[in-house]
Amino acid sequence: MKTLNFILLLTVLLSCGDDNFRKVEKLSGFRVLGIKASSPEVTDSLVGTSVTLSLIVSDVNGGGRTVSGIVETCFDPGVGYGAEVSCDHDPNATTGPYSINFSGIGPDQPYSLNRYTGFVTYPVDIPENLLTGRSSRDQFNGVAYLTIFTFNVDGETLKFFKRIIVTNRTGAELNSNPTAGNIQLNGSDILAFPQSGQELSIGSSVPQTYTYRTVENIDETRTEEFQVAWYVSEGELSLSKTYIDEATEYDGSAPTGDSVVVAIVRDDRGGLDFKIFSP
Amino acid sequence: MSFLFGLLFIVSAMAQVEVKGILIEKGTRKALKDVSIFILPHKVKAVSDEKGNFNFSNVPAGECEVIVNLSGYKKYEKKTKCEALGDLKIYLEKVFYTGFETTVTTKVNKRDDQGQSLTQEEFIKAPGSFGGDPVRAAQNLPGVAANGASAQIIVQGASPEDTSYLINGHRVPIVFHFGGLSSVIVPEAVERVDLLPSGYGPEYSRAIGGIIGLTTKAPKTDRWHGMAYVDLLNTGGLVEGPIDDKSSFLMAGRYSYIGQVLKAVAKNNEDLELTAAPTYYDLTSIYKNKLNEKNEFRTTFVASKDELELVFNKPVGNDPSLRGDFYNRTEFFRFIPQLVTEINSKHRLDNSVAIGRDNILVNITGNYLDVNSFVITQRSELTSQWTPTYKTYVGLDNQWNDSRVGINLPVSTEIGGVRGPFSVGEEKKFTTEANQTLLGAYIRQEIKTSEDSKWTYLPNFRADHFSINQETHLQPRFQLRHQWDSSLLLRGAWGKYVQPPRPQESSAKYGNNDVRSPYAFHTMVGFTKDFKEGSTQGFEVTNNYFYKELKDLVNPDVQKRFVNNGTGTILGGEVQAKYRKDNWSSQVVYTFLKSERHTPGYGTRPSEFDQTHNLNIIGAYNLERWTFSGRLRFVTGNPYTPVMGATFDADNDVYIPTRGSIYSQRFEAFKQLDLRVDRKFIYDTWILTAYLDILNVTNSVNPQSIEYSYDYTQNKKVRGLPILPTIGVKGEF
Repeated sequence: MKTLNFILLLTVLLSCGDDNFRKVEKLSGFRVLGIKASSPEVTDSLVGTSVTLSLIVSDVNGGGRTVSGIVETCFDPGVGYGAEVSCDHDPNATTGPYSINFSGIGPDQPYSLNRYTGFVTYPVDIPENLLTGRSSRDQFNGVAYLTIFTFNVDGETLKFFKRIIVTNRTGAELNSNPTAGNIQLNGSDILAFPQSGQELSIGSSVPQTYTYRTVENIDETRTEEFQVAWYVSEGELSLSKTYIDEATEYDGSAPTGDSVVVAIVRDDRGGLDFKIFSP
Repeated sequence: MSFLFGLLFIVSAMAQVEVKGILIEKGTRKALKDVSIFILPHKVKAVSDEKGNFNFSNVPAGECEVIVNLSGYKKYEKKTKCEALGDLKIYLEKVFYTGFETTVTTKVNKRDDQGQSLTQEEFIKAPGSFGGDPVRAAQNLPGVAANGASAQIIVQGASPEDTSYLINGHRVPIVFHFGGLSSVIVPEAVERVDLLPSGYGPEYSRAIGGIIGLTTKAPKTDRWHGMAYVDLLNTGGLVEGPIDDKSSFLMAGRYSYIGQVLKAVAKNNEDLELTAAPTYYDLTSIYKNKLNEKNEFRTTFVASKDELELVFNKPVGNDPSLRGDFYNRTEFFRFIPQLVTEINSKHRLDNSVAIGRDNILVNITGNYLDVNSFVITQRSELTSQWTPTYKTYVGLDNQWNDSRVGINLPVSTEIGGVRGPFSVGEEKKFTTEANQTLLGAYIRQEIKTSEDSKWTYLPNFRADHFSINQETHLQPRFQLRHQWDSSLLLRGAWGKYVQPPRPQESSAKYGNNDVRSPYAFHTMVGFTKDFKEGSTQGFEVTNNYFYKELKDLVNPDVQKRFVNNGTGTILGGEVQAKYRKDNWSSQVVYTFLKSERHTPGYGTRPSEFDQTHNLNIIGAYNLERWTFSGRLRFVTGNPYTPVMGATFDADNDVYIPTRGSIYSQRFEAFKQLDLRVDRKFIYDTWILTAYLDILNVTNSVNPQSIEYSYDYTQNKKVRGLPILPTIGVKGEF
């Protein structure tokens, strides 16, 4: 435990960030900011279960280009235990091409005009009997089915993934996405891009309570803890991540062109909702 | 009338008086015995006894001069009026009060040639020891290196986890306070620090890397002594002295206010807020009682506590899910009664028990590790000199832990020193109570074929049983000693060493309860050549070669959490050359080693602690009240694993690093120059020492780790300890 203790201490103390690093909240090149599943958790053995993923994507300096890559699906190799994010281990993995056209505008692809931030969708079919042979704890808490996207953009490989939790729980026991309220600017619905000193915040639906089975097979009642990830196309934020109803302060000059603010609410177990504002 | 005055004058001149006094060393108040004291012009002489007392019974009254001329001391000459005196105090001043040592090593217990030790006199003034810290001074010894600015110690390329820390032979969780700035016992309460790096005897085990042990001193019995010091980082003190003819007592303590300094520095930091300044303190007390001719009782109490609490106002670095409270506390105490019985001229029995508690609490934004252990360790050793050529040490070395562990932590996803974000690891939350028993028994034999034989054979044996995995290990160990002549000692050793798996590795809830105990085979040969030929000046050279073969090393595994699929080798040589001439002493210590590990899937690679070259050059010069000293260190940079990219985890909003070839790159070499100046002010009954200690005079960057941007596309190396001057004063009597 001596090592663990020491590592944790060092990790925290040495990770305070460098001022010269790119800010996590600043949008510029191609990025995936989050992936919302129509059902973050599904019940195993339901034939034909399909989940729609909504990829919240941004490419504000991309000029409306198309980025291409592949998408793979497979069961979790053990990412939570240090395994590489990959589908190489799964003989039943699926692979296919996928591309995102940032110039497209439509009801299913509501990109911010000229700022190329919005969402695109991808349907995932969940195979049956993923829980076969798993422990009762795994079956209850669920195992992850991964969807991995890999793109080559500007000569770099960008990889991101989403888990869909497959469990033996059913109905109301399954996790559902939170519902984000409108982005607030100084306490009112946002109507214009923020100016320096103004505060951004967002509300949401009430966090759910749920049951988690510990390694001791004790069923523990927990309540979701929502966090909000903030992104802006201009300037900086005092906090890149806030709790619900906590404000983050904008610092930057007024935008010269189109601009965008994104808020993504996560429920800490795979559920997500988002709001995009572009004046 | 004039006749009367003349008579009175003659009578007065002829009067004899008795002059009594005491001769003591100035500053230290040490009694000087067998020293001649003269009174002129009468040419009378007295000799001081054991307590420094002297007595002139027939000294003509009147003007006289007291003279003491002792080698190593300034000549004492004082004109006074000789009259009946009973309390003449002569404070004799030494020429040098600054006998600066540079790690002059002695044999451990006079029995284990494979180890080295530093006495208090040596480490207390060692340059670069940060005010005489014994463990930091031990880092000057061959084969020893610091792990950056951490509290960890690397012994001959082994993992710090494979090195065991002992106080009076009993295991303790730490020997360094927070950040490795100082050891957990006030230096003046430590008699010596021992280093047993490879091929050590059967007395110790459960450490395949090495042993570092602190031995507390016996309280002084001549009179009451005291010491207090204050410097930029901490303050402390010690008192010791006799209680009665048979018993004596020592108490020492220290409190660090380094946290107050950091708190002031962090006051305007928007990123974090120090709610409780990091602090540490320790307390040591020792009681010794000579019960009778055959029995001596000693009890030692050691307590230590380190504490830090802060709040991260902003999400941190590349793991934005970390935000909020951080709290770390490490504390332990040991109460160690010890009874030494001289059974007869041939047999001696040494019994000791350590009773204590360990508590480690780390709380990071609701994730925590809380370890509470009640610990009892017990050692017994019967030493028997059966014949002039055959001696045995038979002993028991047992440990019992009753632990309560509370964990709410994600599984560590660290591989090759690169850790995945905190929020990605599979959560493990549980509370467990566990008893762990470690039993050990050993025999050490010293055999000579004849009394005048130059060879000594040491066929040793040890057995250990670990309840944690129900394993019993038999460990043969063999040492060989050849005293070629009075100045040349040849030695060699081979042995098997086993240690139990760490609790997190063998925990059924966190790790894998099928994990076996890793073990190692040590082989070493070496010699020590003393060119001084009985003098205190000249050269002494020690040269050792070592080879360690590591088996069943425990590695992380995705499926089973931990498995015994690691092996390793450590091969190296070390040389220590010491030179002393007049007021100058110096030492060059160099270690070359190659430490490799092999893991299926990752191939053979350097160990994280593979430091090819480790060079220490130490020098000191004494100038009466002044001492100037310095240490230059050069160590090959530690290997590290490069990060080649990262995968975005859309659920946790973090990037998971993609590792390159494990430990395939190295940090720049570690270079550090430390300087220290001591100035002593000698008063009759006490000594004041002022010192300036500057670590890393050249402000070398010495990168220790790498910091990454949130997506791992940018990085920078985190520098090591910057230039750190410390000034302080110490008073002692």
